[in-house]
Amino acid sequence: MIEKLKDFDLWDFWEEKTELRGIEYKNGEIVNKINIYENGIGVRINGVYYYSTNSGEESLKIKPPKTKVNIRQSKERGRFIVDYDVDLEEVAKDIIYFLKDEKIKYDLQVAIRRKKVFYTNSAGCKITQTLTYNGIFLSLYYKERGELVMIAFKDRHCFKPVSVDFEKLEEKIKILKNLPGKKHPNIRNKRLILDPEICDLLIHEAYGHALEKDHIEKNESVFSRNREAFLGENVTIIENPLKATWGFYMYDDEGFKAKEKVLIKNGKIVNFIEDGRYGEGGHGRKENYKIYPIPRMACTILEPGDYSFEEMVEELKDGYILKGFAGGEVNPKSGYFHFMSEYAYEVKNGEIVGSLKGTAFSDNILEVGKKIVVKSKEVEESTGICGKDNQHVPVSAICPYVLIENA
Amino acid sequence: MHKKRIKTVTKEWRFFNNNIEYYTENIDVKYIRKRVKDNKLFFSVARNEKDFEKFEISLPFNGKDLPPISTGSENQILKEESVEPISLDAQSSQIYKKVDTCVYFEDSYGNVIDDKKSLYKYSISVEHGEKEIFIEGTCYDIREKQKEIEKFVNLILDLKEVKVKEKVPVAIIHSEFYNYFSEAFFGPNIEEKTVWAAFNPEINLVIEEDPELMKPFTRFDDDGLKTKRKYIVKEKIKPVYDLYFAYKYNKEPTGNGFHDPLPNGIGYTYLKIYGENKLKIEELEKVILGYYFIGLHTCDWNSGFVDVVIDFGILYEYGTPTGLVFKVPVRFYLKDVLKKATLLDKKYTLNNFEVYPLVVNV
Repeated sequence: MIEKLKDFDLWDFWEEKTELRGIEYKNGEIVNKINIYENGIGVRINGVYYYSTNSGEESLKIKPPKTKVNIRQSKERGRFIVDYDVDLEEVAKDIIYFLKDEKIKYDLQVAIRRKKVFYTNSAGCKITQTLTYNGIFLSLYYKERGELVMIAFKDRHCFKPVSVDFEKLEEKIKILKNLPGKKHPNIRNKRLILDPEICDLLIHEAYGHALEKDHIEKNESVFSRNREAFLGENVTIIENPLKATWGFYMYDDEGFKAKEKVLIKNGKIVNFIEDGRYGEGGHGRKENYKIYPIPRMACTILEPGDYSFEEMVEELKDGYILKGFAGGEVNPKSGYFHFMSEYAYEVKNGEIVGSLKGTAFSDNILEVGKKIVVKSKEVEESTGICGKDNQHVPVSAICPYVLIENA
Repeated sequence: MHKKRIKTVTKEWRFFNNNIEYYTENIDVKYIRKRVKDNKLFFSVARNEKDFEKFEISLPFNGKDLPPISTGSENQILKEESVEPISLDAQSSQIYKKVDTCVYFEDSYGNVIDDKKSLYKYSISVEHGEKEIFIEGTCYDIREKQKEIEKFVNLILDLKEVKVKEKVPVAIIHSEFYNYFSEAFFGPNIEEKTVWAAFNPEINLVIEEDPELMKPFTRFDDDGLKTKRKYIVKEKIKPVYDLYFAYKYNKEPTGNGFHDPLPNGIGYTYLKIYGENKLKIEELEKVILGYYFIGLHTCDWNSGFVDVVIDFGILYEYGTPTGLVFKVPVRFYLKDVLKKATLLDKKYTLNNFEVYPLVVNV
């Protein structure tokens, strides 16, 4: 196949082997298992035509394209391997045992995915990379007084088997059991503390996607026409795949070596997230052999501040602390974002007085950063799966607690 | 034993401002085998038949054996054709995907299903001033659909943004809402009581499944069983099951197994949603037709609490479109809204749904 590609000036070739194993439990009983092995090739020619197959006999049917778009190509040569295994049933067994006396229902998913990629291109790049991801995802349900509530617990890692923090899980269960009968807070015009998990979502969804260069070039980002916008002096955002424990990679899917990149410095945009088609490369990622790479985040970081969490609660005085994220969505073109917190705490006179249900938090990227009053020195990493153009990749974000004025 | 070969050929055309940005072709072949032994279901997905043993998993199975599959042959493959973008007077991204799926399914009794179908998926974003409008969906006839989209986009481009300060009824015209909403009636969710629909809510509308409501017809599910026309909700909820979960809960499978390449999972063919309590658009002082909502996938669909924002909608006043609305928050509990289930008296086809749209904020 690679020999055939040498008829063209500009080409990329990927061979990918992916193994995915997973088990799904409902209230301790196995309801689903997967064990899928995919071995496929993908070929990009002249920057515009992408052909892929997992079926050997189809591998020769490439049709040369008429159009050509220049792509910056890596010339790196390298190898990076993270390869380990996890006994999924053992991991699940401990969790099931822990939950057996709790009066809650749950869905539990444990999974491991190993992705081995060989990439080469017309510029002479040759990269072999194996990355292994494993994790657990737990949805916990509780019903009381006629009301059903849900909360999620997750743990993911790409360097080692996950080990569940049962203290954190116990804390989540306590919060869950406390939610029935509680209200959703009305946060309009209130002061808020966003916990690192919510903040991670804000940084990733709101800022991150709008800084992806394909959105910028196609006028699909709020920053397409607002590159000089001032976003707030407390906003310094960095993209660094090497800092992640989940969204990590050593080489992107176009063979460029990962490195740190400052995207926003003290409120001013200084860089964008680029693949080889839309810029200097380093952030081109793809889900699997079936699709071409596009600019993606891996690990997006908001620079922390110097307050402790306790000092921030005092500073908040009256308002809410939004905890845990239940997902979010952004329109990069308008800059509008919307996401849900899992639950919240009410704060009065600088003290936490009670817990409440989660709520939606919406705002605009151009404005929200200017409302940041202070940030904590503690940071936490959140992990997730980012969907863009129907492609899903693992991502991380690392953020402090953030106090916001006038939500 | 059940054995199938699934070949999927996907072609995607991605245009930016009427110029080709990417053209993608993918060919994917999978083999699936299912067999039962000693109260266990053995399931395998592989690239070829000789690897079945290597990738086999087992699950507890509450049945003696797999039932015979149906027999039949369907060919709903659309002939090869290239897709061109719609010519629009605004900046746009247009993505069209043609998916041809060929399934050859046999069992150890000699029954065979040979099912071939095509489906188009489209996703279009159009710039309107500083805003962006999304239109996405699936269809069988892409040329007809493009004509509809062009007409719709021209309507939108003629309208200006309006701000709506008061609370206005909202008709939900976004298929993703109905996707999530209808998952509440999956058998396992009801049996395990992990969803609002498990607690005898009052639902004042009818949900009916019809596998031949639109093309491509779906006459077989992934378990090889015949799909059926039936009520999902009519005075009461009639939960749906695939083969695996039907046996698990001692129920009859309902032809709703849609899960390849997994061993189990539930879905629908096509659904009709209608009811008695309808409002005529011409009689409404104001109503927003919400075409695209942000936040649907983050809602708590288990409790049925919907907290979303209309990303793009059209304001109608006494039946006439008068402006575009953006960023209107909408918040409600499904079980409260479904007690009365007010619908808009105008039928819409949204992907695999034919609905009289649910109206909230009434």
